Amino acid sequence: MSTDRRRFGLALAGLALSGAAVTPVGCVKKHEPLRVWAMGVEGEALGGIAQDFEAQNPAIPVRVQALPWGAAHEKLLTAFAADNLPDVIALGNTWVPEFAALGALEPLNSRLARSQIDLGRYFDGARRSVTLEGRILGVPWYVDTRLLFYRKDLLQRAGFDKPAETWAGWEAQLAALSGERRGGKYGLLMPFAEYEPLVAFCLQAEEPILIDSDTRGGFRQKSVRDSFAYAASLYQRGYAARLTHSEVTDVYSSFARGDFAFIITGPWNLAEFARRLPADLQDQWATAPLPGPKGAGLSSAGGVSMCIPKASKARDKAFRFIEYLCDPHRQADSYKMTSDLPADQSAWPLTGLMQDSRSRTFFDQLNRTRPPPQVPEWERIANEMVAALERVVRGITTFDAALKGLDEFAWTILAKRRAMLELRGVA
Amino acid sequence: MTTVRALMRVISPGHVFVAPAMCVLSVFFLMPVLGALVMSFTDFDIYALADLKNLRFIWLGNYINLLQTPLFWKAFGNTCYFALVGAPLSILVSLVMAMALNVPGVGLKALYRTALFAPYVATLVAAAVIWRYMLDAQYGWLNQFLIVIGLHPIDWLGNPRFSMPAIILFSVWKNFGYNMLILLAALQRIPDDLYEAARVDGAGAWARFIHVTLPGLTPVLWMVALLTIAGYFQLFAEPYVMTQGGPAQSTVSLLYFMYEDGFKWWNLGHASATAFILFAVLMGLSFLRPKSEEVFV
Repeated sequence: MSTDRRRFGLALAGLALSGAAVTPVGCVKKHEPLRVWAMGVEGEALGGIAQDFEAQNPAIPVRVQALPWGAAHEKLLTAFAADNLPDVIALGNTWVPEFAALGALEPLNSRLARSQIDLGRYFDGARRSVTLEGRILGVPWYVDTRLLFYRKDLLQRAGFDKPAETWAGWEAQLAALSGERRGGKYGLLMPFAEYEPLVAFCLQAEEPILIDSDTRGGFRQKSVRDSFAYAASLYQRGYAARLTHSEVTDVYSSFARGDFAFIITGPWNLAEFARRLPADLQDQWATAPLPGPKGAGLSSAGGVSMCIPKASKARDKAFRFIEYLCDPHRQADSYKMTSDLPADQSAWPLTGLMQDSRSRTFFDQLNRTRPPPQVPEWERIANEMVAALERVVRGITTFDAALKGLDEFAWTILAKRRAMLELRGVA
Repeated sequence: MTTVRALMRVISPGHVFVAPAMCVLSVFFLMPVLGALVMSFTDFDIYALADLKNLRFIWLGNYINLLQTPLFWKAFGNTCYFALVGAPLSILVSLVMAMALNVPGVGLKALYRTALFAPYVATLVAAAVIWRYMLDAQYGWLNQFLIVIGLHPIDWLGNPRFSMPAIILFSVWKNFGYNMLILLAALQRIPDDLYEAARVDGAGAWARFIHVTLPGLTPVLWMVALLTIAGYFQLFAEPYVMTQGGPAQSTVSLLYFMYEDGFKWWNLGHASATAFILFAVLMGLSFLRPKSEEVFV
């Protein structure tokens, strides 16, 4: 962390960011409040929890700033370049490897060893997402994964009493729910704008998506190839519409109309479906595990973890705040405010989550997750994966060319990582 | 003393007057541009942001890599499509509207002028959001209109073949007002005697347009064309708000590509190289002009 680097970084990067106000480095004075950044509605909910914390710890005032999800990534990187990161960040798990590569995050191993937080009780996928080369870089706050939401009545009308757990079985159900028999409607909604469903299917493969210490793509390995082909076949056989976005057309009214019977989505929709679907449909929807090649499949491990930047001058106070926040009771409280699923499994019985079969499905799925490859370049590769899928499905390129293209893309994107690993190996 | 006096003799008051502006320009424009040029020869990325030791000078590496990137060419093609179809269309609409406003004897001119200029002053993002609803495949009124006149509805923003035409449509609507005002001013500068003389010589409406109106507008038309094409090459906010570059990357423009590269993935070296390629293209375009203003008159 030499000042030289800062100066150069600012001279080059800062200049390009003419719009971003570079405020003076936040040196923490005695009563400077603890700065906390969190994204989306969680950021807003955190304000209330922070007030309770302040009431118990008058010496540690807390200032929570809520960032919109869409702008958060840029804002965080800009703040890093300007040496202006806050004391606590609620960081999306997929961004942890990136900020780890920046050397921006404080390892919490020794602090955790002395604390009441027992990571052993946390979901395995979440724990693995924040652990890089043995260093624990964050405490999982809430967890997220993708699985099936479906219409029970439509499925029954098609002659099935429960959703299939295998790829083949699900295909048969989708076939019965798509096309002519339902007036040209589709069985599944899976727009290309989201890479999570495709990534979840690829994570089900026996072989990893990235190989050789995550330095190149493994898209042409048999099992990854099969996963990709399965995702493509969902469109090619007419089970899913070739849609790019779903935000203009309202997903909820569309689901209520029966435009599709299945959607692969995340836990926030438990609350949204309950709130937005008409009352007569409330008994007619349920959740099911993501189908796998041979029985209930794995899904991707997502979520948000509380991290402390190395540059923070109030790391001990920051950890006290995280300890407070990640206590099972607080996690249960924040579930009530935001409907985010607690990362600590012992917080689940404190809520109504275990009584509801829809959220219990999430509990089971969360125990069957795998984190996506932990490299900073991952999000970019995932974006390219879904772009390649779209090109295949729209007939712009062939399946084999797309997979070859993905391997080449990963090879180029990971070039710097390879070079740096080689350098480290030599040195 | 003599050198100071010699210097004073060289410096005219004009230099002193422009000096503050030049200072500001060099600090806030020239230096960042030079910084970006240097950066375009490096592989500045998040690893370099973490530790400057990870920064490597790769000279033309970014440029060579860009020329081999399919998405760069796709973005380049999309941008050319947008600029070469959108800009002439926009100028054509401006010209037609300016001529319509210039017809003598039409009432409420000020009202029409304001109404036609209104899209230009509307906030781009707000207008784009509204257009996204108007272009919606199921509920948008543009498709309702197509159905009424007996055509098939089009999935404007969801079909790779129609996404760019939809964005062109929006941009033409958004931008024609500005050129319209410039062309209207130029039209009003053409003396009426010329039209009267042409009429006496037996020229019809079309002949008067070709031989009087167009030559009178030529200098202004060149300027308008240059500014419009240069502006259209910098397509960014429309796809950013309306399509996020999709579907199937059919609306990724060069600037959008650069934005994602630089600010989403933090490959600032690579993104700077894209900026300089766009700069070179625009510089090249600005040399495309007649040697003298009389050539086409």
